[in-house]
This record gives sequence, structure tokens and C-alpha cells, in this order.
Amino acid sequence: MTTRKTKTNDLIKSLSDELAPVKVFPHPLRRVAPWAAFALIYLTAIIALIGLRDDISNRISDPVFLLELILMSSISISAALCSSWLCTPCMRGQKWMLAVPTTLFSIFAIWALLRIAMEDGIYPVLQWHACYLESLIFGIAPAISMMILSAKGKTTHPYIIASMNTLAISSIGYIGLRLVCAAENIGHICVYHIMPYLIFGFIVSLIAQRIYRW
Amino acid sequence: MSPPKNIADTTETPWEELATKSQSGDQKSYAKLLTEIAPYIKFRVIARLANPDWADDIVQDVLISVHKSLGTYAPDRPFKPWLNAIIQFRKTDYLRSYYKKKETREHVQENSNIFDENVTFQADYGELKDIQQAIDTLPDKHKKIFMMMKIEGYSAKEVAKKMDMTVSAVKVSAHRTAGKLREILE
Repeated sequence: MTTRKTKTNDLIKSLSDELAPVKVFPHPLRRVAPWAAFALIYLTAIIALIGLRDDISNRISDPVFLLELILMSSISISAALCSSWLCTPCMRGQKWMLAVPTTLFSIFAIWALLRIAMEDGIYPVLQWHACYLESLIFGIAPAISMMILSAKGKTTHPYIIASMNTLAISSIGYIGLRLVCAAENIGHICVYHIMPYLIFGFIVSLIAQRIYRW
Repeated sequence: MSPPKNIADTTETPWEELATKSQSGDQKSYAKLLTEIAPYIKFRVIARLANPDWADDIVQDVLISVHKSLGTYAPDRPFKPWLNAIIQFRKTDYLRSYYKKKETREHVQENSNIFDENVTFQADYGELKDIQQAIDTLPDKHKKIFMMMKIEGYSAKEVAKKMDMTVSAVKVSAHRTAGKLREILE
């Protein structure tokens, strides 16, 4: 970079000469809408494939369970919106949006920590479990499509967009797992439902600079 | 010095309009836009740089980034926040890259001390001359084996192959020569 020979004026001239009409980025809402539709269809299809948990009729009448699903849906939607807005350099002046998924996730984290503290959770040993495979199945297609969508943008915040992508994808996966897996033990939820997505988020944050480079 | 942030206001055409025209492929407007924003970018980056020479590199990086991301500018939005976000991003990127390279250079320099340690110190030069003279007194065959194994770094097997000898004979020769040299030097 330091040895770039092109002088600024020459660069301006060459950039101007090679300018062709550019396609203006669609509004972030329009960009994220197809992804949201795809993610919803995919989630429904996988749930239909694996099968709903046996006690779903009982659980769905539990307000805490419903609130949990609503909270995760809100995290997913808001994080997906933030990811789409982050695809433009200045987030179209809507940086406040980042506070929404962050706050919602904080609520979820506090709720999970309270459950860990108050319930006698049985923490399973780390070993292969069907939930790992299901977490992968629930997450893989939304993750790939979301990351492609984000990588096509021009973000100036690679780490934030990586965390927003992770939140959006993890929340979808978490909802899916809660609807197919009958386990209510907080230990099981932490180890088999949350941990795979934490690892995914960690890996994505490590390579964020490369994925979202432009 | 007042910042040239009012350039957009003083020019005939605001940057928003120039950017919108540029998106539709108007090269003249684009050249004007880039020419006008270049000093603004330089002003924005130069203030907190340890080396002002980097400013031009960053300006060029930002201009290239503007070119790459022109499509992401929303015509209904102000131009400057969009540009400032790119400036900040490229400046950080440039500095990160610079200091990463610097760390690598420092690491290489630190490790280069090993070469210094192995370079003959001038004070030891007399000693080295004595060793050389002692080696010169050796019979040619022994001298050659010793030089190849102890100085040039060949293995006993390689020397044996070159000298058409057995490996053990080469090892014995090198060992005896070392002993003989020790006697001479003592």
C-alpha cells in the first residue's frame, strides 16, 4: 500500500474513466426480506422433517415457553435487520438499531443465567448428541445464505456484522431445537442447544475480517 | 486551520447530487466528486496520524473504496456520513495492516540476533587464524574430511560417499583429526 505508485490525481482519472453505471443497493428491508422468508420456510421444513416434540401442546400453553420463543424470534429478526443495515458503510445513519438485538440478547442471557442459578440443572458430559446434528441442520442453510448476503455488502464493521449474523442464525436454530427437543433441563439446553452456536459465533468472529473484506 | 468540511456547501453541486449522477455513470460528475472529496479525506485522516506521509496512501485507499461501494450510497441520505464511515474504516484498516507488518519486521529483527551471535567477533580473529594454521598442517585427506564434516556441515554418510570410504572410517578420521588439532592448539 505504501509503495502504491499511482498518484492521487492519476487514480482519480483512472477511476473516473472506468466508471460504469452502478446498480444502487436496494433498501436493507428489501435485501433481508427474501432471507427472512427463506429462513422461515427452511425452519418449518426441518421441524416437519424431524417432528415436533411430543409435549408441544402442553408447552405451547406455557407462557414462559411462549415468551422464550417470542424473545428468540425478536432477536433473530432484529439481528437480521441489523445485518442488512450494516451492509452499507454508515448503516444509513441507524446505528441505534444495534441496541435492539443486543438488549434482547442480554435479557435472554440474564434469563438463562438465572435458570442456571435457580434450577438444579443436570449438566451432561460432553459427548456426541443428536441435538448437535440438529443444531447444525437448523443453522447451516440460514448461516450460508446470511453470510453470502452480508459478504455482498460493503460493511465497515466486520466484527459487528459477524456477531449480528451469529445472533440471527443462532436464534433461529435455538427456536428449532426448542420445538423438536423435549429436554427442559437448563444443563441440556446450555450444552446441546446454545454451545454449538457459541462455538459458531467464535469461529465466525475469528474470520470476520476475511469473510466481510471488500 | 478550519476543516474543508464545507467544501460540499461552497461548490456549485452538492456531493449528494454528484454521487447520484456518478451512480448513473456520469464520469464528469464522478471525477469532480473524487477531486473534491480527496482533500476532505486527507484533512480527516491526517490529524491523528503518527506519520503524515501515510495520509496519501489512506486517501487513495478511501477513493478506491468509494469506487467499489458507490452502489451502497443511498441517494436519499446525506453523503458525508457515508464517506466518513469509509474513511474511518480504511484508516483503521491501514493502521492495523501497518502495525502488523511492523510487528513482523520487529520479530525478524529480534531473531536476526542469532546471525550476530554466529558472526566472528573481531577480537576472536587471532584465535581463528591459529585454528586455520593448525588445519593447514593436516594431511590433505584428513583435512578434507574434517572440513566437510565440521565446517561445511556434510553428514558422515555424505562424506563417505564423496570420498569413497566407509562411514565408520570417516567418523574415525574426523575424530582423530579433532584430537590432533586440540593437541596442536594446546
